[in-house]
This record gives sequence, C-alpha cells and structure tokens, in this order.
Amino acid sequence: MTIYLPIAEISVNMFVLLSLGLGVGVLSGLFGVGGGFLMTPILIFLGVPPAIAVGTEANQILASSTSGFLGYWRRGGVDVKMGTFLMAGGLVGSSLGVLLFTILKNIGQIDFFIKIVYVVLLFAIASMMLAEGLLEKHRAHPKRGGRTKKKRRRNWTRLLPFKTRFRTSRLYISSLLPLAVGFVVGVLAAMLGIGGGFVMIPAMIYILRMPPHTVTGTSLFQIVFVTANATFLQAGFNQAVDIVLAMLLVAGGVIGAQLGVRWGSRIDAVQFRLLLAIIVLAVCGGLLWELVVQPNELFSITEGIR
Amino acid sequence: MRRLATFVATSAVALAVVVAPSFAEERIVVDLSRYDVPVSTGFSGARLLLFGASPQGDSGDADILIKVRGPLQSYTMSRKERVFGLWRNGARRHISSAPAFFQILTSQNEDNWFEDFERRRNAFSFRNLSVSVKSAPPRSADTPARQQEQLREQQQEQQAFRSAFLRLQGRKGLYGKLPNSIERLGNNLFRVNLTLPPGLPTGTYIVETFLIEEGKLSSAQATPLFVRRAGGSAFIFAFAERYSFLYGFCAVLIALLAGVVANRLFARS
Repeated sequence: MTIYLPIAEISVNMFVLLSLGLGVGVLSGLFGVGGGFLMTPILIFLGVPPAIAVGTEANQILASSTSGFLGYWRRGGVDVKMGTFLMAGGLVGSSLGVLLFTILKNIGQIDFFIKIVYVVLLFAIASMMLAEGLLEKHRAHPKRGGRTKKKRRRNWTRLLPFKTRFRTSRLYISSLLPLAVGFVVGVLAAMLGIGGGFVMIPAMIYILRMPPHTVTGTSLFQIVFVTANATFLQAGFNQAVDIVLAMLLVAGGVIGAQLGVRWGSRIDAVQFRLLLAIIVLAVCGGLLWELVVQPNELFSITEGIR
Repeated sequence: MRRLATFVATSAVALAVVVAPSFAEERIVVDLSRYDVPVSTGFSGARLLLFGASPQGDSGDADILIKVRGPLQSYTMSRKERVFGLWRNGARRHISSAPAFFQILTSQNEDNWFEDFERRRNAFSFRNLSVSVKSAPPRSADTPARQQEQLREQQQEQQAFRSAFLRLQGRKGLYGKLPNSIERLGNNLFRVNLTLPPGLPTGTYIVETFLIEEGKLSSAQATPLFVRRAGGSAFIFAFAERYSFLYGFCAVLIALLAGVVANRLFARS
C-alpha cells in the first residue's frame, strides 16, 4: 500500500516505512543508541529530500526519546540539574544549527553538506565500534598507560571557572563543561537529524566524568528538549518536518525497540556490535559512492528562485 | 480571494479565445470529461478524456493542436560539478517563468510543424523557454572576437540548462510532445486521452485546442482545468506552509504524546 507523504512529496510503500522503523528500532533497542544516524541516510536513499529527512528525524527522535526518558525518570536515573545545563547549551546549539541549515539550504549546498558530514561521522562511529568490539575480544591484556592520561584530563577541566555542584551525579565541576557539550551536540542534532547520544554519552563519561547510572537518562532529558526545539524551528523556517513520515517511523520504532531490548539479553553483544559496525560502514560507503561517482543526471530543478 | 481572481482571469481568457474567430460556422467545439482533478494521499495519476467536433471534416486536411498548460512557476536549476573528486551543486540558473505542466498533442505525425505557428503567436513553447544568464555582459575593452566567443559560450550554457529542464520535466511526465495522439471518429468528431502523472502540480490549468488549416489558425477554444489538493495530505501541506510555526508546535505535541503512549504501552513488560 503506497502512501503519499505530504511534505516530502513522494509516494512510498507504507510497509517499507514501518519495517524500516522496526529494523532501526530493533538495533536501537539492542545497542541503546537512538538510531537517527542510520535512519536519516536510509531515508535519503529512499528518495526523501535530505533536508526533510533531517527535519523529520528530529520529530521521530523526540517521540522515541520521550518514551525512553520516562522509563529512566521513574527509576531515578536523571540528573535534572546536569540535564538543565546540557539542555541550555543544546537549545542555543540547535537554534544555531537550524540557522546554519537554512543558510546552506538557501545557497543550494545542504544536500552535499549532509552527505559529506555523514560520511565522516559514520566512518568515525564504525571505526570506534570496531575498535571497541575487537578490544573487548582481547580484554585479557589491561592497559597500563590509561590511568595517568585520565588524571591529566581531569586537571585540565578543573582549571575552568563557574564551578557548580551536581548532587545527583556527585560532581563539582565547571558549568561551562555541560554547556559546551550540550551546545556541540545541539548543533549536530539540528543539522544531521540525530539525537546525538552517541556523541554525548562518551563526552559525559570521559569529560564530565558522570557516574554510569545517570548518564543515559540525563542524555535523554537533553535530547527531548533539543529535538523538540529542532522540530519546531525546522518546521517553522524550512517546512522540513513530515509528520506522516515521522509517525510511521515512530510506530515501527517503538515496537522494534521493545523487541531489541528483549533480544538484547539473549545475544552475544560483542558479535552484534561488530555486525552493527558493518551495517554503519555499508551506509557510509553508500553515501560516499553517491558523492564520488558521476551522477547519471547532473542537473536538478527546485521550485522558486533561490 | 486569489483563487477567485485566477478563475475569473482564466474564464475571461477562455471566453476571449472562443469569441475571437468571427467566422462562427467554422468553430471547433471541445469539452473535457471533467474539470476538476483532486490530488489526494493515494493519487497515482489520472486520465482525462478530451472530446470535440471540428465542423469542416470532408477534406480532412485541417490539423488539430492541443496544448495543456499548468500554472506558471519560477525554478532554480543547478548543475553538479566535481570539486576535489566529490560531486556537488555548482553552476545555478534561474527560470523566472515556465509552466509547471506542458503537453502538446497533435493530429499530425510530424514532430515540429507547430513550432512556426507557435513562434508567430509568441506563446510559451519548448523552444522559447528562457534561462537566466549568469555571467556579466561582454566588456567593451575586449576584442570583438573575444566578445563573440563569450556570447557563444553563454548561449551554449543556456542551451544546456534549457534542454536539461525539458528532459527532467519530461521524465516526470510533466512536459511532453505527443504527435499523432488525436483519435478521429468519422469526419467531424475527435477524442484525446490526457494522461496526468502522479506528482501533478496543483493549480489552474488551461487546455487550448486549435484548428489549423494550411498553417493558419481557423478556430480555437480554451477550457480551464482545476488541479487541487484534496483529503488529509492537502490539509497537512497547507497547514505546514501557511502556519509553519504552529505546525511545528503541533508536531512537537504529537511526538511527545506518541512517546508517552509508547512508554505506557510497554512500561509493564
């Protein structure tokens, strides 16, 4: 059954979208990642204009991260104060991101920009996952140098002013740190159609040094606000949010995520992380191929004068 | 209000064309199977029947030319260029006004017989699509030969963009020439199937029918055709365009609600 997407202005088979949501949902349930960094490029492959893929993904991630956030909230896994600082940075970052996005769209370079940044980003993610997966396989040899390095980093962050106490996370750090992390993630989220958890969570662990039990819930807290802001501004300035597309992906996604969480306890996590790394590499390769190979049609038409 | 204005304008055009040829007995009469094409969520194209009567039928040497023209629209075209091994949008040209839909259907086999006729009427046709010029006019300091060369380059460039535009629109089924597509029924009657593709632009279309004898216009008629969005997708599109921030706010609310519902559904398990 094909359905016409009113904003993307293409007809797509409804079951393709539902199963896409389901598939990416399973992956995000298995690995605890949002999946925006996979969904956005796949939507582009399906023929959704890149700008609309990004705006719509912000809307979808808003729904899925709200659902996840409520779960962590009930278990007390959210550091509201830390989340508020991350959010403040994120709101500024995502607003700036949408502004940059609008400028790039108006000069006709947004599609190129999205593709090239994704190639770099996906390659980085895939190599990180591969490295992590391979390290886990040979974890018998603990590293010696790691300790001293971490201490040095801590000293650097201690020099920053505006220190604040974060009780839930038992931290006393400069408030500039969560603001900066939130800002960077906000820019990325608004421009690339991702939640940014896979950038934010390592930053929270290694830069902010937050305890593990508050990391995921607090990052979801930030993602809810940032994707809400990105959705609102992308719809307002760029008419880039297709609510029909977003809701179809959400419907598949929530079911997929539940399945993924259930299967997660039964499978070999290391093997599957390698599998995910290969999927990410394949998507990265597909995008790179589109950029490198001479396109069949060099010309393109857009309505209106830009 | 604007819609009413366009309707009045089109009707006036239609009337003017119908009335113009004073030799009333030679008139061509045309009608469409419907005047209204709703484009809804499941729209996968539409077929229309255009039928009519052209009175002089015995000799059979009069030709019929039908032009279906969509609303005028401006376009920006870009051409991909290779930069450091990567393909990205490079040169851009503007088309300030071209129909969103343009099909020519004729009763003749030959391809370009109507081009002359069209040129004389100064109407939009495939040949006179105008593409903006990007580069500066030739400087007077340049030699005449150099100026000539620049001019030629510009023209080639424009021609490349023009033919790309026609090709792309043609691929979408929006532009096309369909020679020998008019079916004659006996001496006086004729009928044509108009195929409208999915992704049809909305707006007021004009279907013009010309009866041409020995290269001269002997009779003509114009009929408006309304292509409009219908159903849920029309509502969403109009909402997103007109009240974009309110739409964004609603999108946020719906997503939040979906998140809460999803959480409730699976919270137990």
